[in-house]
Amino acid sequence: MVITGIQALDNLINELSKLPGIGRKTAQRLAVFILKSEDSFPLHLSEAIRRVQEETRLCQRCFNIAEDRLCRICADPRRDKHKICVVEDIVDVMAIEGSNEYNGLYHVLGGVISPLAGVAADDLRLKELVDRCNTEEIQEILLALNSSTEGEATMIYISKLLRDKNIRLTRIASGIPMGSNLEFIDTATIGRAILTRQNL
Amino acid sequence: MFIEELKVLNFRNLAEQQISFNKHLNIIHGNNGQGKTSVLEAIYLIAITKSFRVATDKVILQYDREYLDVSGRFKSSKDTNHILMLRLYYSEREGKHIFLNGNKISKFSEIIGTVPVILLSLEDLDIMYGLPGSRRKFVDIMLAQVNPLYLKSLQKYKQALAQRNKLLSEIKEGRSKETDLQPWDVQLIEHGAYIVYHRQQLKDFLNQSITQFYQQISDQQESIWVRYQTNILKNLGEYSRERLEEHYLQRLTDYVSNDIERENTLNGPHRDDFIFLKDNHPIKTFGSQGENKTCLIALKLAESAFMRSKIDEKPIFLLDDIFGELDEGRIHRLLASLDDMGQIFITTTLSDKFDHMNVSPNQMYHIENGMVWQ
Ligand SMILES: Nc1ncnc2c1ncn2[C@@H]1O[C@H](COP(=O)(O)OP(=O)(O)OP(=O)(O)O)[C@@H](O)[C@H]1O
Ligand SMILES: [Mg+2]
Ligand SMILES: [Zn+2]
Repeated sequence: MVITGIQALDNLINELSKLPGIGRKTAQRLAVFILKSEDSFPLHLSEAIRRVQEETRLCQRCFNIAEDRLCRICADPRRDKHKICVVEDIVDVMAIEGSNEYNGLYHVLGGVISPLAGVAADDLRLKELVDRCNTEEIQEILLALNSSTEGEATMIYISKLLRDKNIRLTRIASGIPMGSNLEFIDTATIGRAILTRQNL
Repeated sequence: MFIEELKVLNFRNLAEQQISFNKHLNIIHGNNGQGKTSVLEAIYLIAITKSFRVATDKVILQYDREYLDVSGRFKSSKDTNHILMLRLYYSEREGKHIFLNGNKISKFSEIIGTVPVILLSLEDLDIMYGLPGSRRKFVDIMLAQVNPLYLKSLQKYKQALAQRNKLLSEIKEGRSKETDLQPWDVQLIEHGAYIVYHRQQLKDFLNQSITQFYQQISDQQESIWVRYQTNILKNLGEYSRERLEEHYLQRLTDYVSNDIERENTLNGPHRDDFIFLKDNHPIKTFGSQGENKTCLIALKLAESAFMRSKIDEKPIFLLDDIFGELDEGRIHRLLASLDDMGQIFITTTLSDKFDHMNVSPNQMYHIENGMVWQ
């Protein structure tokens, strides 16, 4: 799309506006900022963007972001290995970690069930979750998905899936407003929600 | 609640102005196309955050203007020291913004119910003559205004329904399994039963007063009855939500192959209807136009009683051009029965209809070319 007529600038604006939450106007502002910034900044920025892709991968156990085979949480001996908190996305791990109330492990599903969006249960990392329940010594699974209809459906699906395993199933209970996104809620609310979790 | 002052800028054809209103009766008269309905629409807009005439906000923006700004000063009917300022700003570029006492509201649903409003316009005849969807919408708005959880359930129900219907197609085409329905059925049942439960209660409430309101206006001994029809229950009168959930689950189970075949959920409150009976005959098919209108008015009066029972604030009553087909006796008695309602707005092209009624000059407003005069 031609915006300024200057190809390099238009190109940057187009790329930036693909970012979530960035509209065309913001993208233009950011692009002009980059354009006018001191010499080293664009280099550092592009280097940082390149490295984040090259030097990270998904944790083989929980699918959180990792630098090695296992993420820092899975590799940390102080974490409680009997608990798994199931979340939709990596940003939810960050949000819950920020609350400092949770000391167990995670499992990142990579989405929620939504026929309308073409996401079926098989598209999520559910098989991997069941495998973990069979091989690790899990005592409790905490479901921390958004309370959207789709998040709700996914939690119902999971609780059916794990029903006959001898594992305590709980979910984030109060404090999280209905239909809200986890990543936008302040960490105190999440902390409280985790403390008041309920048995399913 | 009542609106003491309305300020409009670039709204429909209304001229920029500030209008003071009476606490009780306000009659706005003027010729066709002068802006009577627009005044009511402006009041409704700031209370409900939406127009009652159109779904897109752009239409209410005055031709060739950049933005519109409508605000109102409201007072509680119980405590006139309690003042509420509501303001709505809209431009095509910036969208719609709502302010309560100067503070920007992030979720519009937060202010729904703060200023209860009841509107009665010719379009409402759809409630009497239209498809079941018009009656569900009427009932849903009424319940949502007094119970935010009802609105939530309604939204969740609709989402779950859309997902389930999509899944039914997937199952029919062999891309999903029937057991995948369960997570959606669970939610459909939970929210569906909640909806049916509240619709049933509302029906009971309406039946307590609608006949009395009807008779007040008609001056005849006729009885009006509202019948609630839902396909998840054959015999009504079963009340607990648990029972409703059981019934709904049963229906969904019984109909699952039909649902898959039709790629559509056949049972649930999205198929509900309400039937109005006058002396046991559906008034829609048997009643005269005047009787249907009288029934509609009685229904709105019952709605007002319902709101008062829930919110403890008298709603603002907006009556848009409803006097055609009503004889003078009925108009007279209608005004009398509105007497202990809260604030009332009546628009009409026929100011002489009020000549013999008990209306003082400061309750009469004249509108011409978008400008209101007293
Ligand atoms: N966005 C707009 N900008 C300017 N004028 C508009 C806009 N939308 C509608 N109008 C005009 O505003 C005028 C007033 O409409 P309104 O419906 O309020 O009239 P009314 O007094 O209720 O008439 P009636 O007695 O026929 O119901 C109409 O002439 C209409 O065409
Ligand atoms: Mg009109
Ligand atoms: Zn990990």
